[in-house]
Amino acid sequence: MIRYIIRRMLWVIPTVLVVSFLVYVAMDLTPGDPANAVLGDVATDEQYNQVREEMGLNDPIVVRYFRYVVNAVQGDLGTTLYGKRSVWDEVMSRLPYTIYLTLASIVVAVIFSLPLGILAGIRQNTWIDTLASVFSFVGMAIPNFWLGILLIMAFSVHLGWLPSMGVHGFKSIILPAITVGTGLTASLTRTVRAAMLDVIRQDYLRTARAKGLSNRVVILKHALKNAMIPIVTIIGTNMAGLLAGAMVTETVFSWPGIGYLTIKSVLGGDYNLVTGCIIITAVLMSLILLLIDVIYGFVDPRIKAQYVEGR
Amino acid sequence: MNSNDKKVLEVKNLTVTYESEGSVVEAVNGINLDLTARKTVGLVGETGAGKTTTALSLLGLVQKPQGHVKNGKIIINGKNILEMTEKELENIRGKEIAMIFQDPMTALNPVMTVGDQIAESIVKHEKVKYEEAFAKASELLETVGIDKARAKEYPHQFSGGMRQRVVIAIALACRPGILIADEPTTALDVTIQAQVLDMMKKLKDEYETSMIMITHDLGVVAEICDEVAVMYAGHILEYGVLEDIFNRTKHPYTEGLFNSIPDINDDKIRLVPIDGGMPDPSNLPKGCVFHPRCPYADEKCKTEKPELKNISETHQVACIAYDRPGFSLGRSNS
Amino acid sequence: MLKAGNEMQAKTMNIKTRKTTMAGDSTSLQRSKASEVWLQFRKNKGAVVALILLILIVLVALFSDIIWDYKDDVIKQNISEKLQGPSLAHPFGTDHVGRDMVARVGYGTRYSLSIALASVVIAVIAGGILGAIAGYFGGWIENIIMRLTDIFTMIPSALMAIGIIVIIGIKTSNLVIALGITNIPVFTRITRASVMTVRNCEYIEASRAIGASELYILFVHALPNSMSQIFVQATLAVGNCIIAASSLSFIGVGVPVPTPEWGALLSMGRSYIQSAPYLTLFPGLAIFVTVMLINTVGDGLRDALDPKLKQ
Repeated sequence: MIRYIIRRMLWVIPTVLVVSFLVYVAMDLTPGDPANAVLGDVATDEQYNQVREEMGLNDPIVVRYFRYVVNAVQGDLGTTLYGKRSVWDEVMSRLPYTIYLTLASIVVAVIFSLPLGILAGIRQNTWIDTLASVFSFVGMAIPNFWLGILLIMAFSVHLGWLPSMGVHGFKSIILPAITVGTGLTASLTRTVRAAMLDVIRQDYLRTARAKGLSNRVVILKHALKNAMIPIVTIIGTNMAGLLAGAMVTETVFSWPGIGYLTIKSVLGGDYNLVTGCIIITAVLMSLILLLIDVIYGFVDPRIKAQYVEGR
Repeated sequence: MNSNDKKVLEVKNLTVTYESEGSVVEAVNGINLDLTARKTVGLVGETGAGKTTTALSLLGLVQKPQGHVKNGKIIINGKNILEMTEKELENIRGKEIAMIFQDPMTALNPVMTVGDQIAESIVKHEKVKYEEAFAKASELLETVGIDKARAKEYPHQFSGGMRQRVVIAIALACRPGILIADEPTTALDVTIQAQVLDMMKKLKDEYETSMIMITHDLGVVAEICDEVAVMYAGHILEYGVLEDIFNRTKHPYTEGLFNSIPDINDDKIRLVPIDGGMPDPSNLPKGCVFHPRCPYADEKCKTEKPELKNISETHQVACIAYDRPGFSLGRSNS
Repeated sequence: MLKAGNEMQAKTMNIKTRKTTMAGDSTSLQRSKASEVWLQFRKNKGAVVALILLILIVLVALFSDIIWDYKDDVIKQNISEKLQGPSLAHPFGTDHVGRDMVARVGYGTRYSLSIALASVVIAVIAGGILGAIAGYFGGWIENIIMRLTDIFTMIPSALMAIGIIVIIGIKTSNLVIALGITNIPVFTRITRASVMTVRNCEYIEASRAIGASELYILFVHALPNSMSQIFVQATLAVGNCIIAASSLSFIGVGVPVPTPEWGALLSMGRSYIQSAPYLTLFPGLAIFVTVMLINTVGDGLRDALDPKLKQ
């Protein structure tokens, strides 16, 4: 199992290299010249060329990329265009907020979707089933940023219960987490329901009932444990969307995460920072997907067995 | 009647239907069944005869909301389980009456260790701590012929025969007085079938359990059963001790079943399959349910529903052809 | 491939006639399938209602230049009537420079729908070609395409779209390109999977045996088989693209001002959530309702195409 995880972690490296290379090359193609940015518009060609040489901008792109990677491994992603701060420090200071928001939205999604999906599954075609399906339809169609604004209108402007921006303790996470989590809640509710409907017809539930176990134990222990497999899959496939949603939501709530930083740096034309943000996000994504793969092993012993055999 | 002849299970006039979108399937139609302590009753018939539904209703496990136990009584150790609350039923299941399921590949929960799946039942009924129950479960595995060290393994690590042993261990975990075995060997390889059957027979004697053996395999019946009920389309057509059914066959359907098995000693006799197929259970034929496929049927059989009638102290048959003077089956003539 | 083509030419006319009858059969088969799907679809009352409403919205988009005058109704400022609440004259109110929100939201239909539709068309074509190539040829070609697809899906779509727009500039057509690219992987996967399942079917063997060229096989046999799935996925993708496009416009990297795209309208209204909440309410509602209708129709389509899946 541990060997599998290590092997799987080694896979992250080439993936991140490819992503970072694509991003690096793409950013290199963008209009805008770092040397110009350093010098401003008034500079002689000589000065200009000297600065380019100093910055290593005249080297072939592969060389520059290689240098970038070597520095990146040492925690150096260059400096921001304005203020000349370390991109690495800047991104790393934002990372915890994005992780916090992402985890909180997964928690929100699980808290709401699990009971709703289970009830909808075991009471198919009742009012709770209808409620669940209406809810998931609404949740899938509602744009994140609009929902965020609506929540701000209701709970911050109107009722004054919760803060509308920034980070001020636990209360601050509630609205952003609900905003980001709604989409995942919607698709998870559907998944849990479908998984329940599937599992509930299985023979082993009958075996469990024949042992004299109560309905509650049969559903919560036997059925849910099996339904966890598709649930984890859906959380995994929704991760990219969740992060994307977090990015937009961060701007709505001025949440100081990577998404907010990325968009600010894009609008400000700070390409070093943009590159750093995208690469770190890609690394974050790979690690999350790795984590989900590992969780799989704990949820489904058959997959764990494959890991062990497939060393 | 001595104490050994005590009836542990009585089924009286049991009727079970499944209803969905307007159509009503009559799965079990007013059957009667008695199980005497430490005996084995075979419930024989083709697929779809209502055998499994009968078994499930004995545990109160007929799937709602489609399934309904319409009528009758199921008396286990003197109590009618149809009048029990869900809570009371849970206390009986696995403790007084347990079931071995047909398909070992699907009957075990794939994400729980086999030891846990056995221990669960012990924790529930014997009110012991989990560790103690797990130790007991390991012992049980040993009893059914599996190394106790494997209690921590998952179902996918076992072969089909091994899994069926686990299923049997689950059923026997709390030494139930009544065991229902629903085609316990059908899904297994022929060589494994005999092993599993032998083991069940041994354990049943050791645990002093009474058993209902559901099967379509007359070989299994001959090996393990004391009494036999032949079931067709939710009705019991013939009921008697083993010798009655095998040597004094009275019902045309039972005869049909025997004629469909090859005789190893006489390969000149051609197999005679029963014509046609099971009737549509949502639209059963009038009169005798078997008449459309019965070689002996006449006009009367199409209208008059036969009752199970005693023809000897131990033997009952539901066939009105015996009202005809001098009627007998081809099989009893040869 | 070439070789197979030459072989085909070398065959007699006889084969050509057989080929035409084959093609004829397949179209009539498709027609009967379409009517069957329609019969199934009609059973789902909700989906039919959604389809009718969606057609109305599409009509608004098609004829918005007839209903409203772009210069006079949509972008002309009229400060004297600024920030008026919903009234008979302006049911959705007016914005901060006095433009009628009904006209802006209505005209926005055209932008939002066409941006989403065009992106999906790009994604379907590009993804379809890539997937078909990967599925049909296999080997290292497939490996490269699918690896890249995996990596692409790992970057949150919003982030990738932002990155692309940063490189190629903020323009409506660039927004379409960026969204199109982010949606390619889904269609690559679907096409590859269905081409692969079809690749080894007996009728493909049969058609190869009578000398049909590989390209012919691909386009006449393999692709039509994945059409229904692609169609359903494309429908749902249009909904997602409407949300994605409006998200990007909302954060300022989508359409340039003063284009009345829904997300851009929302972004502007955001500054007035206290004084004029209707400015965010109606554009958001437009997105939400449209996406919900599209999803309902998409779900109905999926059920109609595969009634067995319905639970």
